[in-house]
Amino acid sequence: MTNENTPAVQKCAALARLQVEPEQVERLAEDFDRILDAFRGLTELDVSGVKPMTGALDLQDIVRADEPRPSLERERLLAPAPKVEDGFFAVPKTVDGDA
Amino acid sequence: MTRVISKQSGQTWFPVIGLEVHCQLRTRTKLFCGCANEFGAEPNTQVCPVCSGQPGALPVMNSRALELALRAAVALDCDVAPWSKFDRKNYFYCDLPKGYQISQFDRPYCTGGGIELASGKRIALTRIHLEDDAGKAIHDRGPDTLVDLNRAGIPLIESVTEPDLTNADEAFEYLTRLKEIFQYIGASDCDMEKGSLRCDVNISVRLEGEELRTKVELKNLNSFRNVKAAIDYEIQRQIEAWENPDETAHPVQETRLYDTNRGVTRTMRAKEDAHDYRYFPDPDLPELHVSAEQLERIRRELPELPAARRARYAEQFELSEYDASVLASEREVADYFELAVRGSGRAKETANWITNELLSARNERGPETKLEELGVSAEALAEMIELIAAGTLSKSAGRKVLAAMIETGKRAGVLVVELGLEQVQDTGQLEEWCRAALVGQDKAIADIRDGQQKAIGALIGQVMKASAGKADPAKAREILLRFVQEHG
Repeated sequence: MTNENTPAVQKCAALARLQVEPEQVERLAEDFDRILDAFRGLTELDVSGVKPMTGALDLQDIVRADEPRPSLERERLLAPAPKVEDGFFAVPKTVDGDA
Repeated sequence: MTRVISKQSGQTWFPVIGLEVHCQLRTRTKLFCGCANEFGAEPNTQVCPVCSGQPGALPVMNSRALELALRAAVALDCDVAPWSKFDRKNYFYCDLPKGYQISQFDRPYCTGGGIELASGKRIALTRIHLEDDAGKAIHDRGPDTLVDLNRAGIPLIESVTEPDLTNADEAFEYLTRLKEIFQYIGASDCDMEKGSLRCDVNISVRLEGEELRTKVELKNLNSFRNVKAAIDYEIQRQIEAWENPDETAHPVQETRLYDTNRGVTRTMRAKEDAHDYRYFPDPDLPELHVSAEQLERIRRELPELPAARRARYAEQFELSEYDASVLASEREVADYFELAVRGSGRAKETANWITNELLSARNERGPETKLEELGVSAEALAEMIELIAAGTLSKSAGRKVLAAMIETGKRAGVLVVELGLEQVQDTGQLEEWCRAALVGQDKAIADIRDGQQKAIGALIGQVMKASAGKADPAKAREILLRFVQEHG
């Protein structure tokens, strides 16, 4: 039997670049059921007149002056990288560099 | 409305074009951290835990970036939202260390606004939003892709137009105006070569009375000229594709890259996943509020914008549309012009000396050169123009003096004496040069007597040559005409 959330689980896994084994999908789909149920409960609340919440902190307009601060030393930045070349991070070739 | 008649079918097509323009804001530091916002540094030397997406690092908004973004909004007559927020746009790419871009999704800091083209047509903006830039991925150096994160986190404003444009020329003009305005207000350098302005094009074609057809996004446009060429190419490509009887050849919704070398657009390999950015509010960044007072101050402090200056120059100084446009398009040049006119009181002459001589001298030194670097102050130019107006210096000698001013930094009054270029007003000397110029010119003399006034030009040229530019051409003309009448 296939859970109706199976495609959603597979899509989320793909977007998050997670490899999910077929036997895990079924269990995760059931988890999705419970999570989505909880959110469905929220949608039943009457929130008319309540200002949308944009964050958990009661803060606004936190800004800083445009003053330069030291950056990391390059050696330190690059140290954890699996591969480095000429001061660059070297990664497997991505063909379409549009980002 | 631009119509394009199909070469194959004779059908009339209407292009529909919208532009998305990213401009880097001219701040000292990045949008959410204190790393330098400077082009050209050694790779990965302007990176910190925040902009490299290290766990636990927290972004804090740069107040200057907000100020510049608001200036842009006010200059483009946008509606600034009383409050806005930041959202995470999630995707995986090697130049995006956080795994998301901080952008604004459903509450951008401003909406509406627009730019009026010379034709009077207004190109409306949908919105402008603030976001941080990605790093730079280099694909053409060896077997790996190389990533430099110096650019990651640099503040951007992305301005999105309505699909109001109908041809490549309108797109070119819109971009030119946008760039002028952003440069004027100090919001951005808008230098495409350095990537501080980047433009994507959304484009489709339709038949009369139709709804919109499938749109294509064009990327990799690294100059305004390429934007123009890519649009022209793409309009023709889409018309041909729609008119193909084979439906599988019809345009599809996709991103195409412009191939500068071949002058064509080509399909970028389709992404494995459809774009699904799963936007959600960034929990690390609080709401941004903008007060009416803040906006009012920004409005007050905004310089006079290029369109207003252009109109004023034509009106107040009676300059040609062309001169007004050249002078007003850069704030430095416009300010310089106005200062020089204040000194000399002669707008037309000042405009000519700047557009013909100073700007070409500057452009010869390279596109980056500032007018100021020529070392000729506006006051110094005004002095030289006064010397010409007073008859001390001829126009052609003025050109030499100005060149020497650029070379030596000396004032015109000094150089006139040093170079011995004081205009000769002495009638005896002028008559001598004129007499010499007439020798053997019987044909010219006859022509002038026949009423062909333009024949005099060559004779005046002779006088100027003989005098090494020191003769007063107006006086020389009088004397020559007198001699011609007396002749024979």
